[in-house]
Amino acid sequence: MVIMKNAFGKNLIREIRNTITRFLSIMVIVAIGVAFFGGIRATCPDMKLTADKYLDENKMADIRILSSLGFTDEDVAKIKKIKGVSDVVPGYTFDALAVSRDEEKPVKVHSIAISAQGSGKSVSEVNKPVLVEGNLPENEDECITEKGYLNDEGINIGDYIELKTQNGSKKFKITGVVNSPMYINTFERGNNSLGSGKSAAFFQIGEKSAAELSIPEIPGMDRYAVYTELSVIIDEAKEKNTFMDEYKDVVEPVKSEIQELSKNEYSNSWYVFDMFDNESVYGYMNDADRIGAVGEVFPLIFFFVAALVCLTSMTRMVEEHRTQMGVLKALGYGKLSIISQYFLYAFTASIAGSIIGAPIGFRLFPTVIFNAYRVMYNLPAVVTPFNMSLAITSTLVAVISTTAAAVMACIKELTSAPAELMRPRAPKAGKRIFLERIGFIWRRMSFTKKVTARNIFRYKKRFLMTVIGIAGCTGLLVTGFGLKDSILSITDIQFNDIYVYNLIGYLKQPVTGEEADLFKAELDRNSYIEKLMLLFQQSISVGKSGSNSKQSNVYITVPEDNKDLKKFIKLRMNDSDIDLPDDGVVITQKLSKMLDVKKGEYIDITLGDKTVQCKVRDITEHYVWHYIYMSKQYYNQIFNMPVKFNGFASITNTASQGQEEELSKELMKNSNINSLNFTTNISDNFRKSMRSLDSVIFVLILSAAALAFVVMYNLTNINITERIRELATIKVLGFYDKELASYIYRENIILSLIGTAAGLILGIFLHKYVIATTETDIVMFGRNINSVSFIYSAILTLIFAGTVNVFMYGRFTRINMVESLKSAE
Amino acid sequence: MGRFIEFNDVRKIYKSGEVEIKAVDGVTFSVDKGEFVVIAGPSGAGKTTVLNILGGMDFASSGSIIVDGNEISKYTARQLTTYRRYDIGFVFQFYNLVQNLTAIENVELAAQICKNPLDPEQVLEQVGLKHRRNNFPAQLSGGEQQRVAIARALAKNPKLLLCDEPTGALDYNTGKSVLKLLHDTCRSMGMTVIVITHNLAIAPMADKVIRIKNGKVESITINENPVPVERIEW
Repeated sequence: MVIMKNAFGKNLIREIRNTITRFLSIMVIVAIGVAFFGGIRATCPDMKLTADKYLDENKMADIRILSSLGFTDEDVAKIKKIKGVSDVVPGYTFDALAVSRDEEKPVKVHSIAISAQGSGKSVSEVNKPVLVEGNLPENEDECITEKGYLNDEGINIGDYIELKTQNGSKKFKITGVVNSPMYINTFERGNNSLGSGKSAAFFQIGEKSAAELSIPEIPGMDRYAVYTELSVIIDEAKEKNTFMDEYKDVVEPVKSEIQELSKNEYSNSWYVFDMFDNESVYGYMNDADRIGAVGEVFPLIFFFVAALVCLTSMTRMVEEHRTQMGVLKALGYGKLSIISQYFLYAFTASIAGSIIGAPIGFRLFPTVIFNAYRVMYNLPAVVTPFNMSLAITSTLVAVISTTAAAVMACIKELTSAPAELMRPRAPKAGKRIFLERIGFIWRRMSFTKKVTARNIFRYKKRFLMTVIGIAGCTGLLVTGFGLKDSILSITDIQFNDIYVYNLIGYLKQPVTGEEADLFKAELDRNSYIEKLMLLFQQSISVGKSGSNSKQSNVYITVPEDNKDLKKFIKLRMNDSDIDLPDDGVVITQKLSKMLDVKKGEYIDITLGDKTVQCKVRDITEHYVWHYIYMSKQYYNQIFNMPVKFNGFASITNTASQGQEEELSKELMKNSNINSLNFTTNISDNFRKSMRSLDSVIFVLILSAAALAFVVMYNLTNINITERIRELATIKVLGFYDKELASYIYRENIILSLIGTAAGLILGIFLHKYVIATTETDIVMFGRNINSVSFIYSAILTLIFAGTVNVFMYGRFTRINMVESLKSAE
Repeated sequence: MGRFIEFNDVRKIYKSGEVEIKAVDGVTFSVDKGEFVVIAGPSGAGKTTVLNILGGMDFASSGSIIVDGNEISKYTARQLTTYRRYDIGFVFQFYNLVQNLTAIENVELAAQICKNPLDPEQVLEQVGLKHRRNNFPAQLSGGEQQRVAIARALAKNPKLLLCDEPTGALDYNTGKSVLKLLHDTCRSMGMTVIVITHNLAIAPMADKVIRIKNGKVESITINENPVPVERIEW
């Protein structure tokens, strides 16, 4: 590569063409690194963007207000006046039983504006259904529902169902199948006060029918002018991304004002919800954030290894050009102009790699990952915009690391005098290695084995790079498999081990004393119920005493009997059981981490409008959601009133879903029971949500493979080209191709083994780190990695590395002895 | 005929696009067992190509080569490897020792793959380097390295010793001693030795001198009375 003053471009192209494999290998690894980095990091924002678009397009309400007292047009007008409110749409939401072919299922019903009404009501649309099949209802005798319901019931569009409430019943013809922005989750429909306590599906019917079914007929009241729900659309909310702070900034003030209004004029009887009180939306956001957390760490490992590979390639390249560089120096070319050629080479390769990698990554990774989540969410295909800032960041990192490697390799050579450069590099003196001192081993080794041993320890840079590259690959695999282990294991531990109860229920009215005994007796009559315990459970917010930050996804649990608690919920830490104290509380593990609270420290609990201080006596092992366990004695002490029980936990002997449903139906007949939840249900949902991480892990594993392959390919390549004379000599001596190959491969294999071993250890640390960052607020992942995972990771790594050996076998047969032995270098 | 080596009308043609390069353009010669042959000629004449073909490192484009009754020109790549393994000892201009092995180990490396190797220690002593057996090539002078290379070639107990410009990188005196070593080996072991050089001055030490120019044999001279190398000056 001779530098001619005005022919930089021509030289570069020629050099690239001559060393096309090297150029391509740098380009490919940069492309992979950038694709991975950009793609994974783009997934979380893309997921949020996709959902935001869907919610905006279908006019999901920013705020929902519910009231058991109902709303009137007057109320609507008052809220419309609040600053920031663009529209208020009144409607109805209620629980009903859907009857089809003699089967009754609890469902959630929402009203929908039917056009030809002429009633003077506003026909602005909100929470618009997305039509999948058929038509929207055109009159009050028609309804729409979701595909799942039709499938479960075995009915079709055109069939009739009946909706029953305590205010009456009505038959509807199903005219269409829809999805709704209110239920982006495919399987969770929320609790229901009827039937089994869990909504099976949602329906939408005309406003008049909705009023008739949900509002009781009271003389003197026009039930068509009373509503159960108001949907509020906020002015600037649509342009804002729902999942970013800018949205919260616009919604919070309006929400507060509405809450003020409720407090001042309506005796606090309104329930004010925002988008994140919607279970589907909240769950989706958590899932997206989890991906975001993974995207923080993993791509960096790739870049690190990519930089290493570039360094070795460029170092090799500079060594090959040694003589030439000496000549140029001798001719009087300055260091800068010599370095610039290598800089340009690396720059071109990395820019080309980035340009190819970024768009591929931005398309590929979000799509693959999102598709895994489509099992759980009814959303249109993911939006994958070209994320300019990510593209720039990743390109910058890629280009800088590649060119820095090139320049560093260059500078090192250029410090030598020209004459020295033009002489062949003095071969590194052979040295004795430690192993030689162990006489009886050394003597037994054949010469090729001795050369292998010496080579491994002699070429330290190469040793390090192979070991690090392979360790990186194994580490990634261990982390990937380990993630799966940690995440899946908690479902089992939490729902089968820690929660001994398998049914939890909530009451409409809290009970105490005699009422409580009666209630229990009634439930006990059911043969499925084996053990029963009343409890008080409520959502609270908690903060460390003295600090301002508060956690609000926390539940306080006060059991009926302290000693009985362990029969239903295990409190323990490091395998030793914890008893519920009467002078303090027990808090769950993740909560203690988040609040940074240790045993013996104090926390402030806000229940309703009361805030009290408690002492933390113990911390219990717990994985999902946050709880504070308190004895009723302590409750009495700090709240200055006795506790009233609003729920119960039960151990049942139901053996199938059918039996669980049977039990639910029976129990729901009790007028005080509001909802029921079997832990099998909760754990199933949770497991489904965790399963989508599978595809993410698959992607990680694939990338680890790509990594191992590129690293080994590169290093074997360099190994061969650097030692071509040695190899040719041995070939001349009469070594068969197989013997030649094993000469190099033996080193590869040993280095791979060392790298794999190092990687297994690296994986443990990496796994710990990723677990800590990927956990969302409500979950604490297990910290374990199954032994099998280590074995899989090791085997896979060796397979990947070994494939390269097979791939490159041809190189040995093709060594041209004559050519290789010519040069003095 | 019973000739040890027969090189018959051998051609080696390189094609580069439209251009044909005739590296060896019809070379014919023969060598007897135990002969010390010098192949001389200017740079680019084709001497190395002849040696490479003879040594089984390259294929001839046409012609036949018979070594000890075997037509090696018909050999497959694997057969050539076997040929090189057992029958050939090669000495290069730039020694090509394995840097990571000591002198004795370099010799043992070659010995271990042969059927009837000579004792590496003995051979190393024969070339006068017993006291340097545990040194790495980087710790040896050029002449010492070349002698190790010769020991390596000899330890294989080959039928034929091929030397490509063995003294090219050495000074005058060292070069002479290396040539003497080669000649002594030739006589004492009855080994056929072929040496390539561009230095015509050493021609008198050979039994046979083959002059090659432009890929063709210019002349073949037989020296009835070869001159001992100590007495040659250049």
